[in-house]
Amino acid sequence: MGKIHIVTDSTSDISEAIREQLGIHVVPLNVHFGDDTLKDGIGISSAEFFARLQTDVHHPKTSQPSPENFMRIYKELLQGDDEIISLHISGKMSGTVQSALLAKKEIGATRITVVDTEQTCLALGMLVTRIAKMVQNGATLNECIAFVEHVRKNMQTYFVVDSLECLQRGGRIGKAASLLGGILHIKPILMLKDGQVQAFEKVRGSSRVFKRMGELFAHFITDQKAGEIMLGFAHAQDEAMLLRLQNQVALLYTVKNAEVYEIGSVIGAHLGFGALSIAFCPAMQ
Amino acid sequence: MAILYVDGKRLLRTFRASAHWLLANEQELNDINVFPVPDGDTGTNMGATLKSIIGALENDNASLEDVATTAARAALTGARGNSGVILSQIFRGFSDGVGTQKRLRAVDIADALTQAYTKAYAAVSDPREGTILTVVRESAEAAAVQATKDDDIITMIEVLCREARRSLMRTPELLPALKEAGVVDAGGMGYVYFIEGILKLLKGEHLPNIELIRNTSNPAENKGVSGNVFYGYCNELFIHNATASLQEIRTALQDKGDSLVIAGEATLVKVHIHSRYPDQILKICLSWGIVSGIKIENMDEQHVARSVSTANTTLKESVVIAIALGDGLHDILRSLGCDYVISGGQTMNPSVENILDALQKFKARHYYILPNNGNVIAAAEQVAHMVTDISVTVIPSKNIPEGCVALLAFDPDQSPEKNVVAMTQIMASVSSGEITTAARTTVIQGISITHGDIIALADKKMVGSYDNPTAAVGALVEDMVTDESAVISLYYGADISVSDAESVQELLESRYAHFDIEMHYGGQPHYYYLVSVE
Repeated sequence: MGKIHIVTDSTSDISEAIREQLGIHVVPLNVHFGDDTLKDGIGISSAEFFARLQTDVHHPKTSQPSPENFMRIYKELLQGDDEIISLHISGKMSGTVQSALLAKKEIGATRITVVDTEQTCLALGMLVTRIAKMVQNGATLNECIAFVEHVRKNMQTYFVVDSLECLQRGGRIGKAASLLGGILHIKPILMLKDGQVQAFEKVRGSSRVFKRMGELFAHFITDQKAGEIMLGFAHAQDEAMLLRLQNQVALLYTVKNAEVYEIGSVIGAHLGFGALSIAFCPAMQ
Repeated sequence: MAILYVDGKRLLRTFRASAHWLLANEQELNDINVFPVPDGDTGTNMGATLKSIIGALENDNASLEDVATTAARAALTGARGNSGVILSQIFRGFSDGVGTQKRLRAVDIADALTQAYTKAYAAVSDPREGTILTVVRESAEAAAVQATKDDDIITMIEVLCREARRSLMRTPELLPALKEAGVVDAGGMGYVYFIEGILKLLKGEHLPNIELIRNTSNPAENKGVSGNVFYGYCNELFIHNATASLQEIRTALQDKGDSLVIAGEATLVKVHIHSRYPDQILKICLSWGIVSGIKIENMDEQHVARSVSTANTTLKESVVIAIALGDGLHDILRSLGCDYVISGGQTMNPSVENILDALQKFKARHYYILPNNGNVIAAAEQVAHMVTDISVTVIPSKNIPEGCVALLAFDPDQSPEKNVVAMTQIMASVSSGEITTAARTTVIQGISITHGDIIALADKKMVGSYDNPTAAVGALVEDMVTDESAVISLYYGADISVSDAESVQELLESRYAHFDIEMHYGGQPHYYYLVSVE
């Protein structure tokens, strides 16, 4: 039987080191500052993006990869009996998975499985790296699909941003639109649910969100009854914020293997400064 | 000459006389409220409730049953404030006692009075002795005894009034706060005036003629402030060769609005901010250099889908009605998700009818009422009891801070049961304070207050009296803040200038550097500041 190749898109924000180590292929989305178009994670790093967000007068826009981008990589990887599992950002937030599906249709190959994971950013990254490891250990395609299902059902992703402005501007504010227009200062905790951004809770006091996000994790852990979990953090070039959240979590749980993601330019364009996220999921039995 | 029976005509005259006498003494009732706050309401509330009753009793030839039931029904809908609601239950109980009888003898009246106080006690979730309840009960008990001895109604009413007065005089022994303030219970006194009005009528004494408006709801006063919340403008512009650094620009603008984004370098700075005052923003930016690419957009137009119309015929999942007085507070509550805000007149005290009217503007599966005032909760609960075929849930917010915080926890997609739990829980986490002017000279909780003093109250506890509102706020916040606190929100009233509010904000920011401090325009009368600490 042939190899299973893992393909994802750049919203997974997987670091270069891990990509190489696990042989994950990433199709980049694009970020645009005015007329300047850059490939997410290739032409512009996370640090470079947030620095430019600060100084560039153009508000960044993003766009999905074209079907051609997918076709190129699919053709390259479809050797012999090899298969491809192509795991992507929620279709409700991006047309990326559509491009992948069109590419698959063009090629006419049955050995390409395109998956709308309903996740993005760290949750997508965590999912993809886990599947890559599973495949290294000999997992089948069906086992991978089952794992995606497990994540869709059980992954919880919570995040905060400095301002809802970017989400609103980029059109991805989803059901959290109800949070707009308030007079009282509310720090909303947002979540990814059913493949889109939703408001989870309105918190008063910017310092309280860390405690609250820690509580959400604690709640999850007490329900868990020991057993492995997946835990990840993502930040927008703010180590201090990341540390604060990690400390809150550490108060309640001895963290062994937490993954840390740097939010890339595409997700960064939609979240803006001060974005901080925690995602967790029980490991599949 | 004895009176041996009361029929419809006589009962009608009785009710009118009672109402007139209470209304003539309305101000005194307001003046003896324990809390020396400007909206001490008992007289106004009982008076308004009675005006509703009298307004409904137009048929001079109505039967006894009709007079009693009409009065009870009018009392129910016109009830205003705690005392008004209790009074309406007294009328209801009395009406039950009257039943279908054509005439009442002394024993029948005594029986009806017994039913009246029974209903009144049942209506209050936490009935306390030393209030109107005690006065109604003790006087009714004495009247019942008297009625077994003698058929003469005049004698019975004399006993009723005498016992009511005695009971009233004992209320300070039952409620320490009354003793300290040197007053009797205002609600009890209102009842005493009410029944003394009967005696005056029976004795042929002159009763002052109060001009009663037939239509008791005053549209101008009771209409809630409807209309959409104005979300402000989205402002964007570029500053060329700015004479201030990005940081300086940020610092200058961060309190002027929301969603502030500053980008660029000295040669070209882009500014983006949501603010209701684009003129202020533009003025400040112009001070830093030449400006270009100016975009000012009315965010209401952008948020068309969110605009709430007050007359809505499509079925909504849930509708939230709140009570508040102050245009700024209205805006804030609306921005937090309230569909409608009732102002309830100058003392923020809507009648049962006012609340019902507001509910009827909407079609929803579930209605929620946020009274935002301890004195309005009873009226709101009366509404909930009256509308048996609709789901109406009262969230018992006692003040504006509780109301605001409850709205944060409100989930329109959740069941009322779950919402009650979540909202009640979050209300327990906020403390509320007020700065106002003392309405009278008194002693309260061991503190001497002079009429006109500026006083601070924290959750109904007297903090002290001060020379000016700014000093009062400082002391109040200090009293309210605990180790767990993180957010201090203030709502400044109609009598506070913007610059004074800003000074207070700066003062608090310097004292409580690790807190989130918010100052919002409330526009409320009577209260200089409403303070919320979370």
